[in-house]
Amino acid sequence: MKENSIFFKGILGGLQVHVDPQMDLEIVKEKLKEKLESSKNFFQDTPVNLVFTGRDFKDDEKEELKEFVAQQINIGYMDFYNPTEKGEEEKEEENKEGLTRGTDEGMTKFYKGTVRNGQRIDYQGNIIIMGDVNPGAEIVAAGNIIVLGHLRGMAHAGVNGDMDAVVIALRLQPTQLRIGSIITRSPEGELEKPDYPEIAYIKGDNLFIEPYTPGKIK
Amino acid sequence: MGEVYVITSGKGGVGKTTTTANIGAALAMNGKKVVLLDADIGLRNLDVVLGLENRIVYDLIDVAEGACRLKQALVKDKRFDGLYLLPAAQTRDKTAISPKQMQDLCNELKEQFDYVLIDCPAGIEQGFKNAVAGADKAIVVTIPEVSAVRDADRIIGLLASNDLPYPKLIINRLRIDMVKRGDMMGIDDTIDILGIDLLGVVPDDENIVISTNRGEPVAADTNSLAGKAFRNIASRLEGTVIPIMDLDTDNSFVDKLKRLFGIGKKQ
Repeated sequence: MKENSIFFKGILGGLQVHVDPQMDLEIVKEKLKEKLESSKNFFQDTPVNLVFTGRDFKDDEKEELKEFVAQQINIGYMDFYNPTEKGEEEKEEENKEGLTRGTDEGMTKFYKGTVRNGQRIDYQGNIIIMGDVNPGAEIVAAGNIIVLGHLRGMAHAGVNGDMDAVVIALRLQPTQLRIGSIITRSPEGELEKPDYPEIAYIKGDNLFIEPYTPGKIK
Repeated sequence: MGEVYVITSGKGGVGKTTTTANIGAALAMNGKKVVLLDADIGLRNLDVVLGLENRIVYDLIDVAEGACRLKQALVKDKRFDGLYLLPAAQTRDKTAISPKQMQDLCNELKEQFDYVLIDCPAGIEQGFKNAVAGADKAIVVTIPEVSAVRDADRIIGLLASNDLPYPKLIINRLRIDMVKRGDMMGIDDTIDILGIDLLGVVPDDENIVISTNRGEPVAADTNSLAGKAFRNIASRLEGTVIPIMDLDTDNSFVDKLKRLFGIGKKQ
């Protein structure tokens, strides 16, 4: 058994853990524990996002792993990427792009149509919605989110902890807006609804919303 | 070959059953052969609204299980020729029938009728899945309240994943006076969120409560505004182009004069 084929790679807000497809779960846990213990000081108490790639984990294995990790550190977000029919190399290339180049370049998902209450669009890259996002819908992206319509539901950009991610919508009226680890909601009560596009971004510890005008982005 | 419509809403109490009964009655008044299928097994109401409760012998489940022939279970309406009801079973629940059985039943019904209208139960579980299984088209009923519109939005999404992508919308129980005061969502606000075609708007009307309790569809009442709205909806289903009714009855001489000078309320 190739005991050593597990490697760790820093990604924004956490770690990518690449596991050999044949690796035993107990060994994964052991290696993971070593790694987490050695970098405990580094993470301190901040939530750590873990993204597993390479090995196809079964549902109960995922649960076991989650519980195991929760005992060691404060987990933020945990995700699993399974190898598909695609060639391993191609898949890895895709992951690398999707996971590590979130906000500047990389994979983008286009969705055409209205995202309705109860629907969720989830992507390890950027998301562009060509339509409305209604209340009760969720858009979750590792990178940026752009809505060419009304954004009335929840949007979470930079879900792996990327604070550089932005959310842009032609009409930005979300029930909740999340970028990286910051969660905001719209103020209570009646408020004016601007009839121009807006951009949301993080500066320091705060989320700012500004009118989106051409040339605005730094 | 007829068309099978499912009338659904997600939320309960928005008027699915009343709408089904009245569209059915109005279609029958236009000379069409219509069957209303109550899919709300265990909580049936359509028979009561139509005043046909005491005529039920067999029901939907009896037909599905082969305990009787389809023709035996159909209850003929007492007022409108061509209107029939296939009642739900009251002593069973939603699991008593499968989507496949509903599909077969709808296929059999549309051989014999011009329109098959399915009254869908509230919710998104088994009952909903049964009701949409055999449908060709869908009608979504909502009232101008935020919670009902949310549920309608959810339902439209679920309909799309059940191969019913372009449902038509009925806005029920609209109160134009409240809309004008800004206390109720208007027609435009509702369509803006749901983004589907409007089939009709039914004003809030006391006559509905009265006629429902009496078991007489309001569609037959020529004095009722809601009755007219339902007749218009039925005609639109048949392909006639009828503009949405102007519900603004506030048309006194002074109002018109004010509007002329641009100081009155916008219509």
